[in-house]
Amino acid sequence: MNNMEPSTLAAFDREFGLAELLAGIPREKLQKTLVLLLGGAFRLVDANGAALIGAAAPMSGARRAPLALELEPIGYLECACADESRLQSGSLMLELLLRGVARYKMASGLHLEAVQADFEKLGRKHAALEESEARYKALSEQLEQRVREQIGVIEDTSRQLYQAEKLASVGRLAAGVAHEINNPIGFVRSNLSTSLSYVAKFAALGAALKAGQPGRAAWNELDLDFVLEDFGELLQESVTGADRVAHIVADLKGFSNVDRGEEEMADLNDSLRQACSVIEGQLPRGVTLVRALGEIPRILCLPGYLNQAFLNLLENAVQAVADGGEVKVQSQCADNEILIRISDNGCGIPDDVLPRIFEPFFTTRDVGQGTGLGLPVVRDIVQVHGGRVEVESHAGAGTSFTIHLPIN
Amino acid sequence: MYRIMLVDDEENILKALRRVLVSTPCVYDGVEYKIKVDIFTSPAEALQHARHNAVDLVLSDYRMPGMDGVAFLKEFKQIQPNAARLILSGYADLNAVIGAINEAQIYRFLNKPWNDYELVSSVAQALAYRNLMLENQYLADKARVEKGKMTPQELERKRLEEQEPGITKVTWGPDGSVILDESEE
Repeated sequence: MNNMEPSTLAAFDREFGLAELLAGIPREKLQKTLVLLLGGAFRLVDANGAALIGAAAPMSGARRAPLALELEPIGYLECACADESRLQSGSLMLELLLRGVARYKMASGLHLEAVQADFEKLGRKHAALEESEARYKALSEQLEQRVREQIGVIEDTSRQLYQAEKLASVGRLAAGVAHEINNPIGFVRSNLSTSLSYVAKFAALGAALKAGQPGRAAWNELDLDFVLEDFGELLQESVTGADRVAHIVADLKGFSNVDRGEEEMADLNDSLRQACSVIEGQLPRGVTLVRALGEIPRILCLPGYLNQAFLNLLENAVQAVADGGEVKVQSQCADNEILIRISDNGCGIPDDVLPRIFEPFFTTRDVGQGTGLGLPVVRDIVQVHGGRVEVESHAGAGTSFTIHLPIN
Repeated sequence: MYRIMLVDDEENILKALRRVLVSTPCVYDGVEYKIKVDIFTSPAEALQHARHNAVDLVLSDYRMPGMDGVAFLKEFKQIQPNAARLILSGYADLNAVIGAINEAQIYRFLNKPWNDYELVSSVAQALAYRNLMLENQYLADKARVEKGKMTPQELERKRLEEQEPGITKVTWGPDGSVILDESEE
C-alpha cells in the first residue's frame, strides 16, 4: 500500500459510524426481520447511546448486545423480550450485514478516491498542457516575427550584394575605359598647350610687323612655315581625339542606364555592339573578338540590364581565352525567339564545376577576383525577360552560353 | 644631342609628345639637354631600331597590342642597359606597376593625360640621372684600369659599344666573311 496516495489510505483506514452503515440497509426490511428474529420490539443505539431505530428512551429490563465491526463496538442492540441466544444471533446477523455494508462503502470510497485522484491529476495535466500550449503559441509568434526579420535582413543583404556586383562590373568597365579615354584626352590636352605656344609665335610675328620689322625675316625667324603646317595637323588630330571620346561615351551610355528600370523597344544588336566595344579596350594580347550579328527584331526589354548580362558573359569569355584565342558573339532569330550566343575556344568549364556555375557566390577565381555573382545575375536578368540561359562546355575546347529571349 | 625613343600604338600620342619635347627646352639643374626624338608605333620596330642605334632614353606606353610596355622595356634593357626607361600609361593596375619596377626597372611611371611640364622635367631628370650613372661607371672602370683589373682595350670596347650598339660584335660566315645582318634578332 506504500504507493497509494495519503487520501486513499485515509479512506481505507476510515472508521464508520453505525448510523452511516445503517443508511446502506433498507430500514423497513431490517426492522421487520429483527422483530421476527427477536420476537418483539428492539432498539438500536450507537456508541454514544443515541437511538437510531426504535424507542428513544431505553426499554426497562432490556438485554444489551454489542455490535463490533473491528475491535471497538460501534453500537448496541437492545431488546427486552428476547433471550440471550436470540439477542446474540440478532446481533451477529446485524454485524454481518454491517460488515458487508462497511466493506462496500470502503471499496466504493476507495474507488471514488482513486477516480477523484485521477481526475485531479488529469486536471493538473490539462492545466499544464494549456499553459504549454499558450507558451508554444507565443513562441511560434515570436519565431514568425524573427523569421520575417531574418527574411528582411537576407533580402537587404542580397540586394546589397547585387549592387556590389554591379558596382564591381562598373569598376572593371571604368578601368578598361580609362585607358581608351585617357589616350585621346592625353594628346588633345597636350596639343592644346602646344597650340598656345604656336599662338604666342603668331603674336610675336604681329608684334614684329607692328614694330616695322620686315615680315619675311620675322616669319623665317619664328619658323612659322613649320608652325602653320603643324598647327593644322595638330587641330585635325585633336578633333579626331575629341570625336573618339564622344564615341566611347556614347557606347557607355547604354551601360549608364542600368539603374533605369524602364522597359523600351530596343535592338539587342546595338547592346551587343556596345558591350563589344567596351570589352575591346580590355582584350589581352592574342585575343580576337568576332561579331556575327544576324537580323533580329526589336523587343520590349530592359536594355540596361541586358547590357550588363552581355558584358558579364563577355568578360568571362575573355578570361577563358586570356592566353590567346577567339571570343565570338552571335545573334539570330529562330522560332519566335532571339538567340544570343557568346562563345569562346578557351579553357572550358570542368564537369564537376559546370552544375554549380549559376550558384550565387560560387567562384573558381582567387579571392577578390570574382564575386561569384556574375552568372547568377545573368540568369536572373534573362529570367526577368521570360527567357533562359543554356550553357555548353568542354574542358579544353571552350564554352558557349546561349541566351533565349522570347519575341514579345 | 640626346636620342629619345617614343613608343605608343597611338600615332597621335606620339606626335603630341614629340611636339612638346621638341618645342620645350629640356632643362634640369641648369643644364639644357638637346634632344632628337624618334617615334615608333610598334614595340617590335622600336627594338629593331635599338639594336643598331644608341638610344639615351625610351618612353613607352603600357598597353600595346602584341607586346606590353613591361615586356618591351625588359627586352630593350637587354640590348641597351644604360638607356633610361620610362612608362607613360592611361591606366595601369598594380601588377603592371610591379612588373614595370621589378622587371623593366623603369626610372619613372607617368600618367596619361600627362602634364607637359612634368613630362619634360621627367625626361630631363632621367637624362641627368643616366649621365651620372654612366660617369660613375666610367670612373670605376678607369680605377680598375689603373689597378690593372681591366685593360685599356676593354675600357675602349665598352665605350664604343655604348656609342654604337653591336659594333664590337662580329658575326663570321663559314668562309671567313663578315655577315652584316640588318634584320638580325
